[in-house]
Amino acid sequence: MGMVHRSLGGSWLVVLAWLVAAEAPAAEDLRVSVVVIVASETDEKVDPKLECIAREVKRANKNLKGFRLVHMVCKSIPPKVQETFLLIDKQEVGITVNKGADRKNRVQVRVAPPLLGEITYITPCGKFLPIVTRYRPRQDELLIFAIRVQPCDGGK
Amino acid sequence: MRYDEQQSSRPSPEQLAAYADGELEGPAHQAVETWLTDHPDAALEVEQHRSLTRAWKESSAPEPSAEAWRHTLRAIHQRLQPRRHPFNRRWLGVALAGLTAAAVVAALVAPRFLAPPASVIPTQPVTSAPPEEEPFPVVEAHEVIIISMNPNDSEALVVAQPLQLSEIQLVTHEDIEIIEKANPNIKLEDWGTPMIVDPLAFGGK
Repeated sequence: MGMVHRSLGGSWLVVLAWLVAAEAPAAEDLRVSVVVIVASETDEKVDPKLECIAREVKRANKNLKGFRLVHMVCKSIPPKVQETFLLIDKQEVGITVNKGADRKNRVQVRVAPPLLGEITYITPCGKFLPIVTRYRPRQDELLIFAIRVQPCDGGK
Repeated sequence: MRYDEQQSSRPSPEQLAAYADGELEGPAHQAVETWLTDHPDAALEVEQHRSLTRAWKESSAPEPSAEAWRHTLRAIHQRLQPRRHPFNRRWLGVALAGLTAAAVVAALVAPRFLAPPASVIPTQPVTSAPPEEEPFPVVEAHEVIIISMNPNDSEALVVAQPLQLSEIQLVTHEDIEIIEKANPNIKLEDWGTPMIVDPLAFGGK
């Protein structure tokens, strides 16, 4: 009876491990988060989460007073595969993670913002890099988005 | 004999007809015969009935012969056979189409006249589904992954985890490095927080 219990317990562990592995994303997939922001020249409300971005953008253009979060998109994508993220008003951005986190937890990203050419850069994982576009959803608004890549596993 | 006694002993028309046809026997026959003796005018009716019967028998059509019966029966069987004539099939199709249309109209109109008033509609829903029907499958919370949402709607979620936006941590100047850019005018602005800025974002050239 003891052997039966042990074998059954082992079987359950195998099944559980299989279920966990089946649900978890592939190990090499990278999670890319895109935050879509709209800066306004008329609406002065600033989302608390955007205070840092708002402060810096206001320095460049004092006409932009308000900053609101439109939405946030997260996708798990394999390296070197471009994925398209919808921003606003059918504006899209193509993002490719050329390399995952290295020993310094830095990733290499290639991005194609709307109305702008491709940019390839190296940035630390887990932090957002804002990109200010020229696209105006309305005459008194400006589209800004920020990209973050995860995980930061030190190249493991 | 008084009038009412006369009426009560008068044979019924059926008895008189049976007497005229010779179908009464025994006391009934005797009673009718006695009554007719006392009522000559009624006897005349009986004689007229007998004359009519004789005329019927003399002028009735002869019975069909056996061959005639066989011919008729054969014709009946032939008519009962299913016809394969296309002309009949077409009319059958027309008839079926008409019946179908009538059924559809009846189905649409009947509820207006047959449906019970709202006050008598049972309010208790059917609680038990047939045993052979399975309930609709429903996802579990851990199976749902939010891809896109408005961060302000985080509190409205009942399943899955909201997108983690409690803190937007930005890169620093030491962290960022541009390797390649298609547009040479793209700059990494030297602000407190580094940002990639479209040269035309603020109306520049």
